[in-house]
Amino acid sequence: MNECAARLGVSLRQTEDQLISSMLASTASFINCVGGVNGDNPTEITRTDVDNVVRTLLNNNAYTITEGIEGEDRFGTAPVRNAYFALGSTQLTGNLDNVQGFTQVNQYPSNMKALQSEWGAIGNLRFLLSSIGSFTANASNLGANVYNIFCTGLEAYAYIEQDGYSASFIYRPPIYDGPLALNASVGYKFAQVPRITNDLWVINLRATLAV
Amino acid sequence: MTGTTIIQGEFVSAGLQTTLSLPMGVDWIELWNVTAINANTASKGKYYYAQFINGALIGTGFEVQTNAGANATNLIAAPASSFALVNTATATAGAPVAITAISNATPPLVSTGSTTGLASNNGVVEIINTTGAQQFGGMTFSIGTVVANTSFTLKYAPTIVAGTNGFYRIIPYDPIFYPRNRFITAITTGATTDIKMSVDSTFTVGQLVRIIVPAAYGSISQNINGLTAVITAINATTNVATVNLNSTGMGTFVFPLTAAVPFTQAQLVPVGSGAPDAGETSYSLLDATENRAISGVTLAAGGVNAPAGEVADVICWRAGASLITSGSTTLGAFVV
Repeated sequence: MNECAARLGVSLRQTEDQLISSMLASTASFINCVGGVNGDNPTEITRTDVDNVVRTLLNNNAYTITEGIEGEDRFGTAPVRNAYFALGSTQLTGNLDNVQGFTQVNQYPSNMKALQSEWGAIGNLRFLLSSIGSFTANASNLGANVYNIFCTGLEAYAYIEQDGYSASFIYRPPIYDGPLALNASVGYKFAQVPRITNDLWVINLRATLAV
Repeated sequence: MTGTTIIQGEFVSAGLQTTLSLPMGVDWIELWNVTAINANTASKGKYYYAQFINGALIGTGFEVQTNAGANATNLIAAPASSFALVNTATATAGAPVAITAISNATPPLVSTGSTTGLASNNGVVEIINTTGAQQFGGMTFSIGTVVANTSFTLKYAPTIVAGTNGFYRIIPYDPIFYPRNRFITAITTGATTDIKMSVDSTFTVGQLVRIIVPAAYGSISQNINGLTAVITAINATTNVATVNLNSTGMGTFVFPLTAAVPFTQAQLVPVGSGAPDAGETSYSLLDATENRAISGVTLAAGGVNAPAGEVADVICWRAGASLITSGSTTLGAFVV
């Protein structure tokens, strides 16, 4: 039973993630990466694209989500700025490594301040990646997958719980299944609606992968 | 599963492909064409049945059809592709299909050797990887007139310098969450502002939208980019939303040339409610974020032998999800 609960918990949170990213992909305004050289539209992500989206969020008075990480006297580390979150796909890892000014998580002054899914930081964006990160299949000029990187400030979006609950774990022992008590059932349900609370504070930075 | 769930409904056929939402799942569906039954129309399908086992359609389904004399009925196999399971949350775009030209006509005419799956004024395509006309690359467009295996039009697209070889693919779904942002293809300035979109709009009067027009779209960008306005009218024929923004003197909207690639496309972005919706005196939830993904069955485009019927046919249907047994009963062996 504990194993079931653990597995269903992962499924629940991943489903939430997918619904929220689907909402953002449907509704949020976007900026195409245009600084790259892969010949596509959008291009691969570059520093000028990161600077553009950060500048836009700053101009829109979006609050950053995390505080800066102060520099320490350790070889190979660098301070990290206060930052917005950039939520993307793990397919972007190699491309992010090549962006000018990219700081790997292991180069943070304190790894304790990195998040589980964090890959690194560029300027005022800290990148959190997931294997179920959003992408739009074959949607670029050349027909490549377009990866949606949701760059978000504090409280830019939320989800609203319906019917007064967030999620329920439900277990029905076999006795409720039928007169012969053959099957138990276990599952979860949740009722919530994702919603952008301020459209100026979340921007979908669209990118393809480098060739 | 210990029981059976049945759902029923009725619709009036538009003569088009029709999708029924069946959120409980579906193992079988049956339909009655009430109009055909009442009129006893000759050579027309009156009843259809399809069964799915573990998500796979058994055969093509079957059909009860009136004979040519309208004095008997025949039980026959339903035409291929009459029924298809669909889940718009997981649907994928169609395969790339070659095109040979995009014209400089208004609206642009796309030449292709295959229009399989396209129907006039019904559906969305994405243009990719063309020679010239790159500004259309990655954009989605509602299609207009289709000439079978010859051409189709992009009915809301702007006039451009002609392009040649490339591909299109059918986009069989909208993004699942409503309201959706849309590509802008034209803006007409004035005391109010008319905004044309590339794909049939799902916006409603009263919605608040933000107008995103990057610098690639000409002088109007400097003045209109980022502004919000309330939709005051929707023209479904031209796919133009009129908003309460006085854009007089704001400049000219110029759709980018192929050489402008890469650039960020102009967008009309839903923001929320700007006013009560049409016919209402107070704010409603029509503008609220809504998951419109559909899981169900798609019925083939309407016709005399199609379960979706012909225009104005009244169709009753019943569908269910039920216990599936794993085998059959024979003397001496019982398998459930």
